[in-house]
Amino acid sequence: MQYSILVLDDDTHVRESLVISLEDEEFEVFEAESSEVALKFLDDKPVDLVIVDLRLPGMNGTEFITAASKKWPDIKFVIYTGSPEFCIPVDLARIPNVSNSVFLKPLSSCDVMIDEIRKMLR
Amino acid sequence: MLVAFVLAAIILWFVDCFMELLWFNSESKDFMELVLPLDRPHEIYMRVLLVSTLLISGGVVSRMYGSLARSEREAKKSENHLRITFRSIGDAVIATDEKGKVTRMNPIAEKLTGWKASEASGKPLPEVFRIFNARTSVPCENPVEKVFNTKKIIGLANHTMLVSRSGKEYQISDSAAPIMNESGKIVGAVLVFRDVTEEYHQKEELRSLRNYLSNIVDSMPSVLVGVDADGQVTQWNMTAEKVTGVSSEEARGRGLSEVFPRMSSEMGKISESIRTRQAMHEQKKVRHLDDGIRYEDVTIFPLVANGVEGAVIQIDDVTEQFNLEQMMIQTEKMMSVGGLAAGMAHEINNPLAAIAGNTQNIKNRIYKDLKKNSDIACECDITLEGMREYLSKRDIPRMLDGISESCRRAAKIVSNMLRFSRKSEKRFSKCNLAELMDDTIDLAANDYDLKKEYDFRKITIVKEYSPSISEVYCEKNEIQQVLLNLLKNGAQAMNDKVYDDGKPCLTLRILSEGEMALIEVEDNGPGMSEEIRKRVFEPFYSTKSVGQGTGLGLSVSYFIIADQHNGTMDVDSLPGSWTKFTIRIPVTG
Repeated sequence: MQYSILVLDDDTHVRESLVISLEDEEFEVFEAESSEVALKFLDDKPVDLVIVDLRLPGMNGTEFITAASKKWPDIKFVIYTGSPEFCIPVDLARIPNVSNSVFLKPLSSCDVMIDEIRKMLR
Repeated sequence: MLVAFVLAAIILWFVDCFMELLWFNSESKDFMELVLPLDRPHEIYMRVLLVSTLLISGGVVSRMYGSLARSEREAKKSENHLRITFRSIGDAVIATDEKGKVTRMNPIAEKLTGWKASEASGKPLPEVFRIFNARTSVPCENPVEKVFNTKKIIGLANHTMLVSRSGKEYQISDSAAPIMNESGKIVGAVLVFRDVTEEYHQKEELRSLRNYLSNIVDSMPSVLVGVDADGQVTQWNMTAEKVTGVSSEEARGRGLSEVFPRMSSEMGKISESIRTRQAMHEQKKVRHLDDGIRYEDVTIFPLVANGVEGAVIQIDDVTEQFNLEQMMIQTEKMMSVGGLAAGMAHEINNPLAAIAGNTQNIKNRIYKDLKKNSDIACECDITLEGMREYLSKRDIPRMLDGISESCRRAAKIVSNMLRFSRKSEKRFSKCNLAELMDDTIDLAANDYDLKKEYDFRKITIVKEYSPSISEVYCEKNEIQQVLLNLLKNGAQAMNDKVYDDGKPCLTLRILSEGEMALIEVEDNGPGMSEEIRKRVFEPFYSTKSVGQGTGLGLSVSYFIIADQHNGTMDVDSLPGSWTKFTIRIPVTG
């Protein structure tokens, strides 16, 4: 079955490059540039997994995950951030659907993240 | 007296006449005839003889009597004089007889002992003159007995305390002497003493003041040396002893440059300072020692008081301070880099992520066996193989690798810079330094990047690990990064050197130094000049060509050691011979 993934990142090029990588891996991929847009999108189409940037305009990634996981407990989350000072906040670590590995930008190869995604969706 | 005799002679003369008149006046001469019987020579002769005998003996007796009286008068006068003198002697005097019993005391002795001479007279001396040692409170030996035994004049020991009859205490200084008659027999003793309480206190005060001052001078952490105008040592404190290994007794009176050779260069300044009466201050004077560089502040103060010419030289080792300052400057620089990096990181990492991600996407869409790749190629009426061949011939894959590589390097610079920002959480744990060093050696030997530049296996590695140090509380990964950096730097440096004899060699030492663990990484590479040495820890300072190094390796290492482990990191080098990095971190973290 084809899994669906939402990419939440405010940087267009980062978002696009991720979308392309994931599409090439045969995922159904959607994108959102802010938490607000993402939440609205999920109302229409709950995906299997969301890749979340932590530093976002408006609602930040941590708040997004907290809110979304409450509403859609089945959705899984992977963090991909360019801000190394963010480690997994304590309240996020308690949510079982959040990956324990935080991926730091830039990843020289997406393979490690894709492996983690497959592991989580299995 | 003589007059009495003359009268007696005249009376005798007349009695004789009278006797003659009564009994031998056969011729019935009248009395007047008999007074001067010029007609009877025998009578005259007898009478003159009698009278003159009387007169002569009278003269002799009166003369003798006169001289006796005179001598008695003189004796009385002298005795009186002596008594007055005795009474007016400024010191207390007690005289005893040959048995040691008090015979005389002057008023001062009366005052100090509290005994009246009349009461004391005949009493044994120790009863009147009670003395003991002021420090030990042990009664002193009877001085008079000592005098009788030794037959010599004795001075009493220091710190003698006299207790008067009323219990009052006096600090005294005294002496006792035997009184001998002409034949040398001891007939008594005389004890002279003085109240020195005031003097004693002053002396004590002076002594304690002197002690206090010399303690101050000695307890100074600075070297303090006093010299006179000729450069002879007059004062030499404990720190000076410690620094030079020359004791104060040895140093005093000798030439400064003789006992403190490195001051030879200061002699000119010392005399100038004395001449101009101006203090001279020289800061951070560099001194090269076998085990590194020391910095000293040297101050010369001219001595002008009391007309004494000379100077005091103060030397402070400010190496620690200097290093600390350097470290603060260094850390400050790094912190500013770190602060900048933290702000920049997000902004730079995002574009880098897009570059890296898309570069990989491009590669995937050319080389990965994706169904979509072949489908689209078909659609465009080209073969994937043909396209790949074209791209290869136009060097596109190499360009893509170039983009990936550059991207990786940029990412690394940013992540290195981020290390300068202070992390709040520290993952400290106990770590065996020797094991960590060995692991790091393996890591360096297998490092892919290194193999391109040199062969780690050609390097001789000498390990000098002290068994006295086992575990150190630190952030293991960070320390490993520092060690790896030093090993790589050393290896790279040695690769640049042409060895005439010998081989590249890394000496790794782990030692214990008090509360600190000491790690040394020494290579026998080309070394570095003083200018480079001063700057190696500066962020972005690199002697490597552009692209070979980021100029952050050592400054990151420095930051890890100095800031995150409260340690120190130094570098020493002899250009052409060796470079040694020394790390000190607290064993307990």
